[in-house]
Amino acid sequence: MTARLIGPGVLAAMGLYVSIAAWDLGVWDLGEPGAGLFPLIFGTALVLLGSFAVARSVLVANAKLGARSGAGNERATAIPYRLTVYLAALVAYAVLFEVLGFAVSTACVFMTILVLAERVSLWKSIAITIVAIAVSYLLFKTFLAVPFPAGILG
Amino acid sequence: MDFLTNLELGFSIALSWHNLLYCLIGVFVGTAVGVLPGLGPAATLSLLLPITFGMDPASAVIMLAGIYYGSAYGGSITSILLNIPGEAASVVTCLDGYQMARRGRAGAALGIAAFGSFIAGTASILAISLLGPIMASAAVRFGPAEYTSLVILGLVLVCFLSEASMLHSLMMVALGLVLSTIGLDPILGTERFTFGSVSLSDGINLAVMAMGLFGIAEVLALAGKKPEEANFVKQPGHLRDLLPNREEWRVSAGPIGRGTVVGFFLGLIPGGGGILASFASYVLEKRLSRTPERFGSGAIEGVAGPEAANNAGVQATFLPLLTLGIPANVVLAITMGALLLHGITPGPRLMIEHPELFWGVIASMYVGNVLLVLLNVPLIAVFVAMLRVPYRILAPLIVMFCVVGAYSLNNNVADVYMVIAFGIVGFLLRKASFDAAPLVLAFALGQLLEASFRQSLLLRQGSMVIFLERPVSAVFMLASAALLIVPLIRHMRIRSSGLKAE
Repeated sequence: MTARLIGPGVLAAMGLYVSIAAWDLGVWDLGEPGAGLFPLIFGTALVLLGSFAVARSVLVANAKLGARSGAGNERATAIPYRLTVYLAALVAYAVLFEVLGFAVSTACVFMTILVLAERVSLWKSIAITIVAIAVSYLLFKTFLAVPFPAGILG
Repeated sequence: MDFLTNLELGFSIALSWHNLLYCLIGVFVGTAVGVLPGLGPAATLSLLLPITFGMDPASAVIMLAGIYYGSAYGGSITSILLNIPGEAASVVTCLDGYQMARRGRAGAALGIAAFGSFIAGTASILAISLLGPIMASAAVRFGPAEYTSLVILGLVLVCFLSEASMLHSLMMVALGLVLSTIGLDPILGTERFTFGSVSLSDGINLAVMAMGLFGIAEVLALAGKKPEEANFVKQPGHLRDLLPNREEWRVSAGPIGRGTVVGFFLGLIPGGGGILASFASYVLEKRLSRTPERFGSGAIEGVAGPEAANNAGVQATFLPLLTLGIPANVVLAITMGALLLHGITPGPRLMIEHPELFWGVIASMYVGNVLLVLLNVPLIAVFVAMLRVPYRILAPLIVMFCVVGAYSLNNNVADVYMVIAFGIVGFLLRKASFDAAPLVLAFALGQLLEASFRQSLLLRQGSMVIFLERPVSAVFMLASAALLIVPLIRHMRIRSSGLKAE
């Protein structure tokens, strides 16, 4: 239920920001549609739809609470360990991709996910990482000429 | 008889050894391009254009055309196996194709996609040969008002393909349209929502968004579950068992036929018809089905219809180019460039001045469809073998695939940040019961909608009456209104009868 309140709420807030910014861009100028017209229309739609969704979720939640008075509060669920490792690895991948280069950053992410999240044995993880990086390097760098960042190896 | 003579000429060109080879190279490269994220057919054609300088013009177009429709099939492979759509038209295939793969029917999904595309492509080519120039002339009478109302109808249809509530789908459509405005205004060139970033001034790349919202979000969603829940159901071992069975063929026959018709007519419309074809077909099949609740959970009709519509649409997009000289999209604009480099101007006189080229390309499209089936059906066992890899090893490979694919688009690390950001956003959207498919499809149509909407207003000095004045536009607008209002009235009636019963 919390996610169903926060999601539409965030979208409504985003729509509000877009609508205000769109107004500043200019909606109509010298008899012609301005750059802000389209974002204003759909930003406003987001505000209205999001607000309606939030209001509906609150009414439904209140109706359920009224029907089951004395029921306990919604339990907060902890983020699973595997998911936490994946999220951290993804963020680190983005930050380190150019700094450390393709090979080193990919190796770090692979080892983190395989060893820490998926509990694959160390030697198996190293073997998988080496093969994956080698094949990707051949395919993208050699065959498709994608200029990977060299990072600390360059 | 004239038609048969023309086809005979066409096949004599298409079945020559060197053109067969170019066609094979084209469909092979196209399939590979469709599978690899980031490297789309437009970029590939641009890279190969200089090679065509020394080729015969018919051979050049045969190879480039093969890459184009080969990539359409390749995009469906990653959609089905990895939930990563290669292009906007493949997003719909993810909805049921990937679920079929998770349930151990990946081979059936790939097989029906291949055979359905072949049947649709063949029928489409026949229709092009017989009806072509007349249909193309009608299609290009579409003006900005018709495009606007067609896209609005498409966006309304998008809301019906999602399993999420209509309200949530509408919010995703609105969000997709807002995100499509990031970058430069298409008419005035003003920067919008770029926050001073040079990367954002080019807008968000559709492939980056799709890889993030589907590929990486799926990895995160499975990371939040128990490890044993992430693995795919075991796939059959023999090719015979991998392919669609009799019941699956029976269920798919109607969707393939209807998808072919929908895809052909929508594909004729330059600019946006092709994207609409696959999800118009999906919505149609969902509406016609006696068990619509199966859609989104692995219904084979949800793969057969859209894939047929997509391939029929891709073939049909050649018609405005060859008969009127109007390229429907960037890929065909590059193909047109190849013809112009050889001193040939596509248009109404192409069929008269260069009949061997016109009919040779038409015939080669049929040959290319045959080659695609011959090439890819035996490879189904190889593709499906990939799913035997435990998901805990597949997951980091998918992440790397998406990150490298995003980076390879523009060699810009900002795309890497974006694909991961969209992955996290996609995961959070799922948690809040939102479906990403309407967002991606609305984003793909956003710029077309805005440009045609504003052009329409300019034509009538700001009056919205233009959308109702023009008959075709009025029909699309009324259809959109009916699709939105009828379910709302039905829902309100059900609620009020429920309240009365209490």
